Amino acid sequence: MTDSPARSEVAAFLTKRLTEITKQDPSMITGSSVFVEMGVQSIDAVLLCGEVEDKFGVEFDPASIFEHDTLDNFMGLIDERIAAQ
Amino acid sequence: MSAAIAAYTIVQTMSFAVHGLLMRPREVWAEVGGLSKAAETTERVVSLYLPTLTLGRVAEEDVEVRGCPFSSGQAIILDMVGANATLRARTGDQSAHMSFGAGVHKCVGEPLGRAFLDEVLPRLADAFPDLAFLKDGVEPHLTSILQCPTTLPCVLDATNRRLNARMVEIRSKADARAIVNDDETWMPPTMVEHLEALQEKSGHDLSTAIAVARNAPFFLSGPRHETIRPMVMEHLGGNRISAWHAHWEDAASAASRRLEGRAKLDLVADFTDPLFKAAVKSVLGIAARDHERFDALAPKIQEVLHPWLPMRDLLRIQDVMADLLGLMDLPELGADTPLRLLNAIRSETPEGFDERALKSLVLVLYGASFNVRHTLANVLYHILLLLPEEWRFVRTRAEFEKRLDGLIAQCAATKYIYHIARTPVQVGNETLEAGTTARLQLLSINRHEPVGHLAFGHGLHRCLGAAMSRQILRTAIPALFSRHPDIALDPHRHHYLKMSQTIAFDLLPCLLP
Repeated sequence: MTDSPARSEVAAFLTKRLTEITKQDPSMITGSSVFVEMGVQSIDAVLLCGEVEDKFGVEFDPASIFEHDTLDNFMGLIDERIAAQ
Repeated sequence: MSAAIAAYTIVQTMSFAVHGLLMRPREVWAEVGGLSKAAETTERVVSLYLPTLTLGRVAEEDVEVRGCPFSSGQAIILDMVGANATLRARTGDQSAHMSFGAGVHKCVGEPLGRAFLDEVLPRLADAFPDLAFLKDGVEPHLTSILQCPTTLPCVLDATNRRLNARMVEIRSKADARAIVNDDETWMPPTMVEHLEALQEKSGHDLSTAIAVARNAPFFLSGPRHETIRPMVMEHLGGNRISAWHAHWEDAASAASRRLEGRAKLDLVADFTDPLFKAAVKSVLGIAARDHERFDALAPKIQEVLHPWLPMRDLLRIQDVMADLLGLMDLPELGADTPLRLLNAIRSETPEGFDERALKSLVLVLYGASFNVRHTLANVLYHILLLLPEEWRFVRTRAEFEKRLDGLIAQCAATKYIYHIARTPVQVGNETLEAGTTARLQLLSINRHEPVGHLAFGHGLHRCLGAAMSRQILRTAIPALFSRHPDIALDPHRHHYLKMSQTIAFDLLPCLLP
């Protein structure tokens, strides 16, 4: 059994990957950034989910990214999954 | 304590009644509405949907009941469901019942129960006329004395709903029909492009999934779809498929015959599954070098590829697809009659298709045709929930055929059809951007009148196996009920598979007298 990842660690990883995917300046990606407005597509969601699962062992469905609208809201889901581990 | 038990029984009756009523067509639910006929509705509901299976009694003295002697102290079990059915049959009164008991031990909660049902049921039906029950989400509770659901997940209305920024669920039948009829604005999910991009960005080898998606008619539009559709319809279309009628008659007859002598059976393992394999594999021309392994793996490809599939599931399904394609044999070309699909399309292989592509196409069609098995079980369950006098129509082919489309509409295994907006489009009150997915939710859409149901889709992307599915259902259901007219559900012992895209039974236990 592995230790649960820290929220900040997952948040930092997501911010870095979103910066790469959307080719935006890192300072532009904040907790209130909206996925759709950042230009995130369904394929990006599938990739992000797979990467978070591989790196942190936290599973979630790609569609849930768009169900949570903003990065902060989505991190709420991640928190729940981490807490459930 | 007695009052608490009585009150709980009222809630169980209510939930069992709502379950039973929502399993029926929308018109039945509409008839429940209206407080003016509440008392009449309550009588019928209490007669038909009694959660109490049995009651225990002890004879206080030696007594004879309708010729049957009982000694003082002897315990007896009353079959309450059977007693109500007998009363209805004997009196001809469809609301006859003894659900509240009689005499000094008559249920003390009767007035409260009647008042509760009188007030609540019509108001619920009036407030939510489009209430639709997510059948495979039910959690049944069964003991030797009681049957009722403990959860009844429902969709409250037939209003479209935005699921997320990229997806809208369509529940309105008018909007759904407009979408499936408009190929200029809407297209099927572009899985090939999605998988190719995913492969490039992720570094995973998705070549098998891409090859399969490239031959899946429901992911295609344009020239490749224009080649596949007529090629398959030449053999599975309504005009040609009737050549298989005798084969299906034999398969249905054999499957029904195998149930003889059984007191208990599972309609899935003992009827729908073997019938499905016997009826469909030959038509498609599926020959495997290891049938047992093929049959064990094949159900796993029912998990449909779609653009929201997590990578782990995609890789798992791809592995299964690779195994199945490896197991499929290409039979010798010969003059088989009727001509099997794989043989037929091999003999006229169009440009751009190799043997692997043709095998992929047939495998995709086989995966999709599992819905025949599931819809067949769903229809059987639906019929078995009806009162015996209500399902006489099944034994008369002409009567049954009149009802078949209604049954398919209500019992279709497919939960959703997906379309993607090619351009910005207005659907109801929603403005959708290009690339937005419309998920057509068939439960609500098909709950309206059966004419124009979308169980098989519609238009250019109508299910290629629709005629075959319809013919198999048309043959199998009367065959079962004519050979076993007294078959009955083993109440609330059924179990659904947990599938995101399909309503499918895992177990459907029944009894044969």
